[in-house]
Amino acid sequence: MEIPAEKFERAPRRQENEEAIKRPSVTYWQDAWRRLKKNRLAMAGLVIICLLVIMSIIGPHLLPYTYYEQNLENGKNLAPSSEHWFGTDDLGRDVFVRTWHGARISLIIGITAGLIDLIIGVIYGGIAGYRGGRVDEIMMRIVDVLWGLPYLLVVIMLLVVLKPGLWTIIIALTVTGWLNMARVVRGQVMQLKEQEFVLCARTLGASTKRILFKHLIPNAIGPILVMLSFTIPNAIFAEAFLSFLGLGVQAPVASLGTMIESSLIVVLSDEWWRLAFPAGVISLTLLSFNVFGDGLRDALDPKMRK
Amino acid sequence: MLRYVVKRILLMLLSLWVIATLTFVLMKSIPGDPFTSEKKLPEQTLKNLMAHYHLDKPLPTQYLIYMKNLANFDLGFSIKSSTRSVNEIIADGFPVSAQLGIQAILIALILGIIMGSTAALRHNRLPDYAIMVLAVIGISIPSFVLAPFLQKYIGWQWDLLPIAGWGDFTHTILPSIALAFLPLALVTRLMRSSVLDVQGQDYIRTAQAKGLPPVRVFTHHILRNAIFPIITIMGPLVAGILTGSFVIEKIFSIPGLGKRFVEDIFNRDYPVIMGVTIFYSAFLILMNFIVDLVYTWVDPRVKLGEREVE
Amino acid sequence: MARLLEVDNLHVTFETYAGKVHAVRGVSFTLNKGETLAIVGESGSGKSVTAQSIMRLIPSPPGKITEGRILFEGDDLVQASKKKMLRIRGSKIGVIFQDPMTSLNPTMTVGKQIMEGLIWHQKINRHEAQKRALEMLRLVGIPNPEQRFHQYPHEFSGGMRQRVMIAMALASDPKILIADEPTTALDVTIQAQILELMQEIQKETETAIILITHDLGVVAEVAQRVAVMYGGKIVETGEVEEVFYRSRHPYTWGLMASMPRLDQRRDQELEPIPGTPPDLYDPPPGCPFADRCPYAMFICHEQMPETTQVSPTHQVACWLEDPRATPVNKEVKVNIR
Repeated sequence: MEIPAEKFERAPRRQENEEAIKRPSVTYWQDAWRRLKKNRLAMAGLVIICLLVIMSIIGPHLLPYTYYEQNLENGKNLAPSSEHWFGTDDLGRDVFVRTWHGARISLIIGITAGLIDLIIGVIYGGIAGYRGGRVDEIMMRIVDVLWGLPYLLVVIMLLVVLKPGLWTIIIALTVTGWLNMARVVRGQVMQLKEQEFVLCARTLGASTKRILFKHLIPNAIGPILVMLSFTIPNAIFAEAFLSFLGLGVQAPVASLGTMIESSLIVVLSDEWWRLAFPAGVISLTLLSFNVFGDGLRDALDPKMRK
Repeated sequence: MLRYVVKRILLMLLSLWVIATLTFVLMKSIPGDPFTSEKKLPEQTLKNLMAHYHLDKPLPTQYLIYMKNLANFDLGFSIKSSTRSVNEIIADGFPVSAQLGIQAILIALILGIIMGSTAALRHNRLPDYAIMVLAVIGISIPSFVLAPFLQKYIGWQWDLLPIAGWGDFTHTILPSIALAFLPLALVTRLMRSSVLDVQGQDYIRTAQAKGLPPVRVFTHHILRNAIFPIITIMGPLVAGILTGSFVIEKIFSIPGLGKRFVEDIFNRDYPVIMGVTIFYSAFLILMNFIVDLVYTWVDPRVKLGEREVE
Repeated sequence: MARLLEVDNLHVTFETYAGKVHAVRGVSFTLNKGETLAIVGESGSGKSVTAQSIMRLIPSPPGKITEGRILFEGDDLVQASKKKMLRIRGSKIGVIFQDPMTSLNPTMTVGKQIMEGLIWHQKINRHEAQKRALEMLRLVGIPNPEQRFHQYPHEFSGGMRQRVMIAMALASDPKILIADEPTTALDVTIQAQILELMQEIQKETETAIILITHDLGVVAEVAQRVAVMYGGKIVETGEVEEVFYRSRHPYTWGLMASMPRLDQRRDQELEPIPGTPPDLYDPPPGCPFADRCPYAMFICHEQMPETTQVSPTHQVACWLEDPRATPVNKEVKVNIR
């Protein structure tokens, strides 16, 4: 093997090679987004969520009926057709319009309840975690006691007493719903506040509020988002469950839960569309939120980061 | 050890007191008295009734009587069927609900552990994907959607099992399955991630380095450690099955406490709603306490009081 | 000396989402009966992967032995069946891992964990296995073995757990003991005890030891031969004296200079090796150390050097050995003992 002599000259040191980081650096969010995009199931969930939101907005207006309009004379229990895409129910109401109207109620309740949980949870958990010590002790003791109460039973009790309606359900769902979020936020804040960049900000004289909202919350946002992506479907499920028990929004307002409850009779008859469409939409809603939430959790989990 | 147990019991009693007081306050905040909706009662009868239920006394006195009765495990009387005490109603309905619930939990645990382990052992291969898809569907489809479909096909069109009602064992199969569906999915998911987690532990490598066959590594090292987290979700699991029983018993018309509770909600039979809620809450709170004790007892690593409350 | 194990041109790669990682790239060494061979290198040099390959314990997928042979008692372990490997693991080759805190099953008593392998490999009954396990616990210096036998790992300290690991690895009387950073996770005083224990047991049982470590102090204390690994390759190998006092590879020089010594003056600074180890996703074609080597020539970046036989036992892979290279006058300041 012939190697030219000049190859044995000393090579200049490759300074840039030496301390260079060998792979391109990606920020946390770029990395998370890249991983989320790669997760086809989660992306499918996201797309379906968007479609469901769009349909719940425009769906009720696609056909010339209202969710409460009855047609008792010749419109009862009609099978799906070009006039009634999802057929009609035993009172002659259009199932398509009612289903999307119900989906709208579900989404409003789910998202509103989720956001209220988020706000209360972030404030409560943030303060408990940041202040620590006695304040934390007392605040978390309160959470512990409330945590011991069975969630749906408390909600049922509230609904039995309160006047039924959209806001009643949202309030009932959030009374104990924020506990989870508060715990997650507190845990995150406790963990983060010991880290150097926070100590640094504090040394520089940043106020408590500023540290909390400028430093701690943005860094805790990952777990908070994941939590939110699971509280929304939980609230949607709870609403359907309560409506099914007759404790939800009251007739004639359509809710997926009440639609399913009132169509149980079709088990023994052939009007499958009355059950299948609302049941399908609620299942699809929960499924897409759950799948998306799973994907989000996997994408944001720093332990999975390689 | 003892300190931890005492602390937990105090916390438990506090939770119970909160729920009892909350129920009392809520019930008293309802306008009118429980008899307003009834057909017009003669003045004297109404008075007697009010006196019988201590409703003519000032609120603090009522509260004290109520708490005293609770302490004696006396949950009061139904208004709509005044011959029956809430205790009797519970004694009638709860065994039925309990049978369904226990069957559902067994299905969820046994199948869930098998399916979760299978998925983890075939990680990122077809069985894993199939089981995980099933599990996410199980979490997403509410039992009150699944149950009518089970009834329609298995019960009605194919006529394999009774469609509803309560009688022999065959009557329990469909409702148990419907009730077990969500817990099964939860156990499966948890078991899968737990097995995956344990598989990556150093001590599994140690076991493999000993030259143990894979089956033994699985049964004696992976399974043994992976099963502990399942115990921790037993509390939420029981709660889920309990609330699930409301809809399932209603759909399958099973004479359990859940169905009864739903009917009383519908009839606004307040004393029964109150009593059953308190009973359910006490039951769940007690279950959580037992689960915690069992967990600390079976896992040699955990000493009582050291476990971080999640 | 009887040759026990021969690793020949071993290649191991890991498939990750970012591409193939070439963790081990043509490693060859031999192990003789009763001796201690130390494999030294920084983290990521491939030393642990090499050790795990011998046991065929690299997680697969993503890891895979792509080339080479591992000859043990006339068999090639790379080609051996799974069944055969089960017979070899734990009975003919034992392992001690780095972290004793996590390497024992937390839910099984220590005694059972030692017995388990014995019952499986030697087909003996529980009673005999228990006797042997107790004997091993006594051998590794655990006080009250009868009582300790029934305890769980969390009731042991780190040093005691490592003793249990050693008892477990040696219970079936293996020919080879692979010790993967056995003292890294332990306190310094405990480290010395564990090393001493390993040497004592080796004297008694004539077990050959492959000691994986990054700690040159440990090497000097217990090993007879050393292989220095860098970037998935062995860059220098020889007897301890040769590698410590007459080392020929600039990386070994760097290792020696970066190690604190007792006779060092306070104002004398440690010399770290500048730079970072090579990225094994895309290993350089030449010498893996070239980027960090103060004596690197053009050829070093382009082509891997051949192995040069310095003495019958001392080999080095460096272009500086080539007669055409500019000689380096580096006085080796290493004085370890």
